Amino acid sequence: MSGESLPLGLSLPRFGTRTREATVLYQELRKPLLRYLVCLGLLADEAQDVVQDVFVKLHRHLAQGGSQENIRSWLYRVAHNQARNRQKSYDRRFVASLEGEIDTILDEKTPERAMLEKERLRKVGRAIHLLTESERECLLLRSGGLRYREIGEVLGIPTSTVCDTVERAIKKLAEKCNV
Amino acid sequence: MCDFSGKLVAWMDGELRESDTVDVERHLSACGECRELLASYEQASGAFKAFCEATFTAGTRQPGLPRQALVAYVAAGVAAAVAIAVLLLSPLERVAQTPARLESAAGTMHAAEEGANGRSVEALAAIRARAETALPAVRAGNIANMAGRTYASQVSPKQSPGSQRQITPTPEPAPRQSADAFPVEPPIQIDIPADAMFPPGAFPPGMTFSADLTISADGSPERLGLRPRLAGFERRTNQP
Repeated sequence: MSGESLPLGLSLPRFGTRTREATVLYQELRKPLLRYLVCLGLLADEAQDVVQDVFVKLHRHLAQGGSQENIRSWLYRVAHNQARNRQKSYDRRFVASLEGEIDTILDEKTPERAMLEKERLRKVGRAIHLLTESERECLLLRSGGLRYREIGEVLGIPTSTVCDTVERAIKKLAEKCNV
Repeated sequence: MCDFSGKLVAWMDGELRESDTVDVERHLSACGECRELLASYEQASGAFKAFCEATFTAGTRQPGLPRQALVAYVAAGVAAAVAIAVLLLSPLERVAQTPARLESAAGTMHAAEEGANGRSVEALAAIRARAETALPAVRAGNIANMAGRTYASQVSPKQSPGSQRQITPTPEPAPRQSADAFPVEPPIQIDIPADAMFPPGAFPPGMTFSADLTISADGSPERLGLRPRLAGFERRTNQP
């Protein structure tokens, strides 16, 4: 996967104490988790709460001698499930248009560039709106640096399904965005 | 549609087996259509990431005004505060200094006149009296209506011959006795020899010049004028 693959093979025995493991994981995964949750539709405060809960659970998980394999997938899965439990806010943002917020996102750029960026983001937003929920989730996790296998573990679907879903979603986006 | 087009996304994500990766790369080097498709997939992938980042930025931004509006409001507030401070403090400082400055200037000039022929002693005494009456008014807080008024100083038409026009800062006078005295700046005495302005004999002996200096509220001089006055016939002015 191109771009920001996280440097976590995450076979944790190479780390020292459990506290240090949790600290390293928190530093590396806090922001990607926040981004994933906010893009899923949680408000920033809710996302912060979920991330805190997830790392508390991770601490307990490690303290109880839980499996240290695929910790990144484990964290995303717990976060994903907590976001699902907050179903009321789940579909609030990412599916909805960002029309109002795009104006504030780009207010520091030059007017011409800001106008082009706004138009491009609106176009992408409309294309994303046409994706299925599974396709959006797969692309979100993929943009967070997760491998297909990890995405499958988070969403509970086979890796081959993830591969097909990601390909279908990318083709849809390319068709809509690159016209 | 090319047979390899279905593997391009997986190849882009590094999710293909090694043998498939080699095949796709070999095909890409020969197939322009697949290269175009790959470019469009990469573009769509980048657009999705940019959208996610924008969503995250908007979602985690603190509620409130946009940054530009916030900066504009803060700048306007600071400017207004500075303007108010200048309006309020500048007259106070200026007027507070003025009587002491007048007094000091009068004292300096009085000493100079004592060394000469004493022709402007009466005029200097009048200045000193005005300064002495103005100072209590300032101390009593009557400062608001004193800003922008005209203060007078005396210039003798006869100075040392051959001297050039000069602006001479004089030393600070002795500190005042009272504890609530205003801070005093070194006064500035402007000596303009009459020879530098007028031909010899143009004015009779005993003629003095009064320099009227109007000070604006911001402390800068607005108007400077010279008025001829004959010693012994002091005209009463209504200046403070």
